[in-house]
Amino acid sequence: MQGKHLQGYAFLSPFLVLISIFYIAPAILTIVMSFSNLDGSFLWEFVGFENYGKIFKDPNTLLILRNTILYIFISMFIIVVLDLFIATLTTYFIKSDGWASFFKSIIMIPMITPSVVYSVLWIWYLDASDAGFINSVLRFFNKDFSSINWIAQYPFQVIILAQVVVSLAYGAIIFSSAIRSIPENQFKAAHVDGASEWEIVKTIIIPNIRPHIKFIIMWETLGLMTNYLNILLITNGGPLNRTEVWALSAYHKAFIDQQYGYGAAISVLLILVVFMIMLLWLFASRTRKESEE
Amino acid sequence: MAYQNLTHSERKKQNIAIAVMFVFIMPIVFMFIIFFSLAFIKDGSLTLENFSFVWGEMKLRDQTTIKSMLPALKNSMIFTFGVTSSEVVISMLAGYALSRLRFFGRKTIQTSLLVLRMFPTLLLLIAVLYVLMALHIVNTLKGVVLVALAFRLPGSTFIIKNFFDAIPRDIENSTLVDGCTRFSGFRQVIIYLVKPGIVSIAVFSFLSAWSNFILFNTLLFGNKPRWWRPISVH
Repeated sequence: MQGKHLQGYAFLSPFLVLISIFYIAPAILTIVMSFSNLDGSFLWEFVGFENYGKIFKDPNTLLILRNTILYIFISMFIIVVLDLFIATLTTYFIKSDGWASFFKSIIMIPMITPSVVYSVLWIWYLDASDAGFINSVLRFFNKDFSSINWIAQYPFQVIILAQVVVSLAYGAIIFSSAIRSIPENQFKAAHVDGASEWEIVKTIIIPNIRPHIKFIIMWETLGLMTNYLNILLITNGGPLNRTEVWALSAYHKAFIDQQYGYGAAISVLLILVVFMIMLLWLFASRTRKESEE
Repeated sequence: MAYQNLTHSERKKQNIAIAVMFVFIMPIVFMFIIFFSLAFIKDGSLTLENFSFVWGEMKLRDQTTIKSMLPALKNSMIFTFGVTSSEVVISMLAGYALSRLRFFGRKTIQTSLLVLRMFPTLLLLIAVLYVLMALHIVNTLKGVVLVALAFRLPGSTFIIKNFFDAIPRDIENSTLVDGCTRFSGFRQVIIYLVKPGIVSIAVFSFLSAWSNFILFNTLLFGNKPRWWRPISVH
């Protein structure tokens, strides 16, 4: 028996080594770091809960928290509604596979674009000068239109729009394969009974894919909470912290201000929230399985 | 669903839906087409001149000079190739063990795989920087490759494990009966049965490695290898 265990670990060893050095160890280190005031000189000095106290005293914390919550809820709501809309149109109404996959692949373009290129695209699109694309299009229709600095004036709307466009594809694909697996005779029965299309969407499609909707809500919440790449590249939290979100502020504190301890403390709080959502999700999916059995 | 047996009203609804979707995707398509076509246009004519920074120095209109991108391109290629190839090999070994072999702690690793897969890796960057320093591979391409690899492994192992689960056990038992060891059976027979899985993790890994930016931005400082951004040049 001993050899059998060893064999398993022989196969797993490269995986376990990499994961424990670059995944588990950093996770533990983040927690340890959050109790120290580690900075650019990398000297360990433990200060207890001082970093956490600092977070609550920081006048910007409230603004950042508000931004984060607004950003997550608004983007998530738009993403889920649009995903349902796209999935219903492409799988239920459009019966031809060619058209459906054509539309789905167009939706996927922003997702597979590298995020650097994608952000540059938005910056160029909303450029403040007269040469900016949106500004020149608007001038084309209205001769005496004065250029708007879109990113400076509407930073929050811009990052939500950019994030929504890039996140659409994942949910749309999940939803559309879920809709495809609904038995065809449910739709036929509804048609025979004279149900309108809106009633079919409301009483057949949405209840049938409810677990998938829950999954996408959880997934997008986690993604929006922790993925700050697009915000970093488009507005960098600016102007005046108007688009600074929680995860991005950890990045700024650690890598720009070199306050690694403080940054780690901000990350730890976020990781706790992420864990709570994950536990909630695991618990919900377990009770669902039990109630089905 | 075959196209022929649609009723009249169904076809009408499909046409309306197609029209709606067209309106919906129009902005996205336009945005990308206009943006990328700019790369080929200079002073109103169609050229490849905008790409000359790839092989040599290039002067912009405001007199700033851009260095050749060849070293950056080389670094990107080494990085992408390194991450993709080792990710495929390591996650296959791990996925096979988790799917087939019985050993102590297997259940724990399987559950933790799920958690790790959803874990926000971007939040670990601060501590990862410290780990790299402790190992003396900070500010090197090697270090970034290892980190990128570790961050992507749980996801790809999970995918390939499901492919291994789908192979019937009898095939494997017959390789063992015919005198293969676990590893030679794995190498000579099993690998060929999970080809679609290998392709899918290789494609995902390639895409994410090629467009990776945040790891370079945070983990390498000072003499940064410039990242591959052809279009931003214009």
